[in-house]
Amino acid sequence: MKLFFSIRVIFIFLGVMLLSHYLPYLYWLVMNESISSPYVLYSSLKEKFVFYRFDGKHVVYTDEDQQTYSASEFNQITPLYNFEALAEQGLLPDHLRETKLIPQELEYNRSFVQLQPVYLDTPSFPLYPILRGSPEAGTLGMTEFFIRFKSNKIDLVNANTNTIDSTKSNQFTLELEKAHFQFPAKGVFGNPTTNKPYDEGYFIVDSRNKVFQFQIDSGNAVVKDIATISNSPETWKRIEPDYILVSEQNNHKLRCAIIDTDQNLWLVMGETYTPIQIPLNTYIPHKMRLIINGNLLYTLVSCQTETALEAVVLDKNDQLKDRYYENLQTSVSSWKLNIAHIIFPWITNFEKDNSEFKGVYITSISIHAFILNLFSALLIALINYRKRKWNRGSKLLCCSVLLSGIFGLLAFWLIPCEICSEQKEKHNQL
Amino acid sequence: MRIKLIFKTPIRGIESVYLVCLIMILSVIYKEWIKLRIPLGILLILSVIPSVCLCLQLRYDFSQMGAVRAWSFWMYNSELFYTKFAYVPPFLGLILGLLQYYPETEDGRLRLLLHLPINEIKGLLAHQFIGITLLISVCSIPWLLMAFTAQVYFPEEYLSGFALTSYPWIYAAIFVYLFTEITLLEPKIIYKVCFIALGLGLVSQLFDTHFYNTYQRLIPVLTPLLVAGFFMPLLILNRYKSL
Repeated sequence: MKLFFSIRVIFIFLGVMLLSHYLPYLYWLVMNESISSPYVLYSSLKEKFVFYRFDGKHVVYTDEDQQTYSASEFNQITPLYNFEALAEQGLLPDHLRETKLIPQELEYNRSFVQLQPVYLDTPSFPLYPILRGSPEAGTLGMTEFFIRFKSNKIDLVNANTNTIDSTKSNQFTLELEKAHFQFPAKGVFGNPTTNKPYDEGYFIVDSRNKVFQFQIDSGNAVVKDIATISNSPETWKRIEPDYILVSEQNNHKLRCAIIDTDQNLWLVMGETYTPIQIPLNTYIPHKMRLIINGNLLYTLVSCQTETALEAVVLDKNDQLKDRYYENLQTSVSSWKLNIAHIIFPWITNFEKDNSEFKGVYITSISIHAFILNLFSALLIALINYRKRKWNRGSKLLCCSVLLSGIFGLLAFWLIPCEICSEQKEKHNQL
Repeated sequence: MRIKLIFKTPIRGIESVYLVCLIMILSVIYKEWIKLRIPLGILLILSVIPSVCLCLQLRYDFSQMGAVRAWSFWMYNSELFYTKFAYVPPFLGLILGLLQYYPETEDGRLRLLLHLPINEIKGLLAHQFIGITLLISVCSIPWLLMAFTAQVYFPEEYLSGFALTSYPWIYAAIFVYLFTEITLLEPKIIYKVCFIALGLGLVSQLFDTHFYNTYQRLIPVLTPLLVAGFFMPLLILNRYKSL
């Protein structure tokens, strides 16, 4: 009977695992709560942070002093972002602080890059396409070659024949070694699409955490040691990149953003590859969404989760101009959250926002629910003890309720006993 | 004929018990093979047809769009030619489970198993062993066909991705087979419904493949669960026996 009891325990465990996923899912489906985060911009006219906020029914335009604006007023105080609409209405000012506003120039200097936490934990293969040509000539396109980074060399794979081009592979490996690249590559970062203004190639981090730029020019590999060509080699020596987001914007200003192993954010600017550390105090790359929004005068860097928003703005010379932090109030009604915290000891998820990988992720662990579980288990034990039914089944029920609350209780009821109830009654009568 | 010969040989002591047990298990496996071989052939054809179609589609796509685009779509858009095959293994698991256990539950034929001169646990496990072996065999033929085709058109990375992306479907097939067995053997309708819900809840989690290799980290969770799942029907056998 021990075997069958053990199998029943496994069934209950499986039931608890699935119920702890589906019950909270159904609860929030019925409660129908949506969470919307504000979107932050920097007003070049007011020199303040301004926001789009959704109050559940409408978009509300506000600034950091809680002053509200109409949609048209909002466009007018953010001319560097909404210049197209203003130009169409004839409302685009000629000058803004001695800078002439020309739509073509504003468009050229507009940039938008975002880093979702999921990018940091996503499946990938060490195989990268090589692009050719230039977008100016309208010829930026894929070649048939893909690079594979191995532990001590690179392979150039021809997609058409599905074979390795040994000559070119050796040549490219040699070029990397000439630039003092040390295998194996810790990370290779690029933007393998033809839908971009130009191609930066790949930023590669070698085994000593040095950053190299790898490009193909007329069929030959060009490898640059970034620390050597930069005007801040000492700063580059301090950076240990964990992730590099390649930017490739029209104005070639922001080359890439680097998250280092200490979770600091660096922006690499201009032809000189100048690294600038962004003073975001609350940024956690694996949890927060990062947006880099550049225009003719400013670079706005913001990071946010459902509960917090932080933004900094850099001026034309990449100096810190202003910063903003806000604790965001969750739009979920408190009574709905309280009920959830009391009845669900935890929630099992099989996926999470910051990873493409499936897994068993336990979230929302609630102490209140575990206290309730303890009292419920004691009550069940007392009732069974008084009814003189303190057997193995009752003990299992108590344990299930103690450890998993409502999930354990339901799983215990849904999974049948080792023997059928009719037989059990007969057994009890005897 | 062969079984009769073995019985006629003079065997004594403990060895004879083991021998009878072994013969009975082999007989159960043989009986199941006889019962399933024709439907199994049909299922094999039914499973190979979609995989052949997918391989031909891959060849057509390569000729139309070229290798470079096909590789890029695979790597960056996660367009995998074999994802349409995902529901074939669980479907095979369902059909095989029904074919194997529905006749056993009709007119209480499972009681015959309980009265064989072997432990009923071993008898049921022998049924499951042959069922799961046949299921894996039927699933692996189209799977190997697609893997071979993928190897022709894609680089070596694709094959590892193919294995890691498609393994949940094979697991799903085995879970579907086991829960079909459990549901059919369970004597009470209310618990049949509970087991269907439990099985659907588990299996539906294995088909959320919107990117390759997404289930890579679930292998250490799903594999022990699968091994435990192999013994789950024994609980229902005990309930059936206790009726």
